[in-house]
Amino acid sequence: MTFYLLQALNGLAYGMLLFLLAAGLSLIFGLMEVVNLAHGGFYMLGAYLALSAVRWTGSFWIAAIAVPLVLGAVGFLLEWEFLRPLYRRTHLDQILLTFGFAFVFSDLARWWWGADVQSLAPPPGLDRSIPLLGTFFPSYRLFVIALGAAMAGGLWLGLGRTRLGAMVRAGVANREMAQALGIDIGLVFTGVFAFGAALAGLAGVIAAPIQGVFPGVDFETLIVTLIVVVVGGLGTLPGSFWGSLLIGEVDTFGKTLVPQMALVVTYLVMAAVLIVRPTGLFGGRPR
Amino acid sequence: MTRRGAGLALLACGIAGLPFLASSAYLLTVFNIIGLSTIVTLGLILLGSSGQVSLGQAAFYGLGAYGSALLSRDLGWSPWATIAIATAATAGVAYLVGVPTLRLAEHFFVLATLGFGIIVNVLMVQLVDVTGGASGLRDIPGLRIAGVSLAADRAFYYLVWGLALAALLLAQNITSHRTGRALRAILGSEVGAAALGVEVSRYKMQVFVASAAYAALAGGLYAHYIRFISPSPFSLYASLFFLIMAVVGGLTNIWGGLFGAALITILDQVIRAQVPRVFPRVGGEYQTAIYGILLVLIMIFFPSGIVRGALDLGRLLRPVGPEPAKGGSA
Repeated sequence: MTFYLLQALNGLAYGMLLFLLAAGLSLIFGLMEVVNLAHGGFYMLGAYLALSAVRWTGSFWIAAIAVPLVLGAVGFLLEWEFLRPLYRRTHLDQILLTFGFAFVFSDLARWWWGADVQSLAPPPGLDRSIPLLGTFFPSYRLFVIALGAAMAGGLWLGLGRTRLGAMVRAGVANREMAQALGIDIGLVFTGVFAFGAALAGLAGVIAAPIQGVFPGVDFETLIVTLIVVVVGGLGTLPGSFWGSLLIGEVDTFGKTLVPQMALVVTYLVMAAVLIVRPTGLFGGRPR
Repeated sequence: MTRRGAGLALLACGIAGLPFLASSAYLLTVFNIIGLSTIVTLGLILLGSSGQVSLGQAAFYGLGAYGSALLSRDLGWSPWATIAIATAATAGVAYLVGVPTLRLAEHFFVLATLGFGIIVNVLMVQLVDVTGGASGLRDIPGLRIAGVSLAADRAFYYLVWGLALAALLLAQNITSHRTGRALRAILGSEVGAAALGVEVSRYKMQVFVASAAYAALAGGLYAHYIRFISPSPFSLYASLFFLIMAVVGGLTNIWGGLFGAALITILDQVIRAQVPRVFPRVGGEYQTAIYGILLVLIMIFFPSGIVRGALDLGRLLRPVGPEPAKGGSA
């Protein structure tokens, strides 16, 4: 029993990581219907940059603050320079553009950081296991759960209770109408895209001590995140949250109970959700 | 004879004569790869004609290859039969993928093909008992006609290009008749097409299944040509490769598919040969960045393909003269 509870906690930590990724991806989609296939690349770059930043500065916390800022800038550039000129074209063109970038990021990282699996030590103070449920549990994972929950709460408040959040929600609900009311939706989107990239970068930093980082982790993560977003419902924050927790648990238990078939189990859960609710758990009207 | 027919006849003659001009084993292998890639790319272009794109086409290519290789190797069936069976079975798999995803918005389908491509590749590596895992399958029987082996590069050349031309003709037939008009209507506006009575999801399903069958056919041929398969030629990178071939040609342009397959296969050979020479420290694994950049550049500058882009450029550079009476359309 204790074993399953600990696995559930592991799944919760993984789910919180997924939420950081899914929230950005889902908001980007909700606003502009662009599926950003480079999102896994942001995550991977976040993890690799954290490795380098910790090597240079010796501090995990500096990395945790600086790296998301760098990735926010990368996201800003990508949106401003490359995606923006494509808005008048089909969504397919934009998706293919981000697909191209995903491969560029993938190879750049392999070139710069090499092909080995690398890992980051948890920051001092969080590198021990603490007694829990009669056994020991890594304190860093509890930190990840707390951080994810805090970010979820912050996002929920930010989207629900601030003027900026209202603009984003208006854009998700009806882009043309929001624009007609005087909201510069292009600028909002640039901001959301950069913010989503920064969140993905943060997820990469936070994940590095748990998951490690290696070539291919970008597409692996992208697929799980896409599953989360599809299960939760595209463009909804609560959907991303509950979808992340569900898929985090399913994936963790899948990997423990049927190691070779974990991905298949996750797909089956997605298929089951889509059969019952084609727009996802929290998805609204069918698009 | 129509212009198209004449063009096709000319192409067939050129293809038939090519091995006599360039007969080295290396060149014939390259031509054979171009032929196989052409078949896969034509499938993607059929799909593109309905405004859809598959990011996991290499999975269907791989299902054709593994299916045919396993059936012929382990059950001793004739490779001709197993290629046909594997192609039909892969088309069935595509149908199953299409049922839940094609009725939803375009994004679901794109994501489903991406996920499908990744999961099939993972299964190829992990189902070691069936697929041999990362080390792959050896001793796949070669193709024979009446006891004569088609293993030689030249014999296979005529087989694969004969099939590629047939695939091209079929694709042209599909896109130039009733189905083609329906597809163009869907490409223009799905809602509009549906309003005019076009059964949008049925046509989309048909071209998707056809595109998977094209890929599986090429995959089956590949398996019995190389006679060894492993998961890596069917990875996500291979899907990117096929996608770029289709995008270079314009994604809806059938002749562009032939051009794209040839251009990218040759480019790949050049990159593999030249990059280590120019940058000795850079290994071969950095090609995908080149293709990623290529995809980005094409999407930005030549969204309707390099051929169309070059034609447009040519039109811009044409000297200005007195406008013909009917002008104004350029």
